[in-house]
Amino acid sequence: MENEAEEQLALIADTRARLAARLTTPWWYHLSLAALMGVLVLAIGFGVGTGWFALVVAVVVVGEGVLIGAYRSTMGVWTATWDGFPSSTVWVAFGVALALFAASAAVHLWAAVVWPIWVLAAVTVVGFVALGRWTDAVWRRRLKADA
Amino acid sequence: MTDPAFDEVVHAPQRLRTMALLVAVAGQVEFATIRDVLSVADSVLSKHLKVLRDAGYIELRKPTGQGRVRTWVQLTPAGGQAYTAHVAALREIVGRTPDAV
Repeated sequence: MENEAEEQLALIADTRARLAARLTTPWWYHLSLAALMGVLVLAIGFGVGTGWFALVVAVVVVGEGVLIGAYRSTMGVWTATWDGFPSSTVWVAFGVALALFAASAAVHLWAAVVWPIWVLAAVTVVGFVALGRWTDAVWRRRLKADA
Repeated sequence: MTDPAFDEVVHAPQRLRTMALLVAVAGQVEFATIRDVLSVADSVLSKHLKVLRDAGYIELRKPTGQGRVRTWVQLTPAGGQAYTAHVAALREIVGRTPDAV
């Protein structure tokens, strides 16, 4: 009985390890998501009018929906709850996004030059690709650790 | 904390692995992904999914209107409880603390 229980626990560990090995997000997912965030930073920084800004937000929202659909289709997995996702990394991403949006707005309001807006957009793209990879790594590590 | 309870439905190796995968994802997993992770034939997986669905442990969804119809599998609350209780029972048998699974 004890051996069988050990075997079952080993099966669970093996399954989680196999899943972790499979969870490699396609390169285009993080890059596309980061590009959408970069577009938002540019729109805030250049202070486009309300109508244009609404259009940009709509493009970003629709774009993220398309990305999620493509991810689901490619990976065959979708985690929609905080239980399955490394939520700490998501909160970090929210915080970084808010900081970048605020910085871009500050440049728009108080800076006399526009180049910092381009720098912020570039930082956004690079940062969100890095955050995405970090999230993947945390998720995979947690899957293996909990096994 | 869930009381340990050995579950005959969960006990079968392929069903245990399927449920372990669904618990790990805490979301939806496509049929083909489960099949690939478990390295089993479609017919074998279908048989085990039917048992789990009949027990009320999983839900199967086949969204239409998006090209090829795919089957998505999701754990139900009852399935999550049964799995947690079963794993707690396994840990109890081997003398481990029934911690998170």
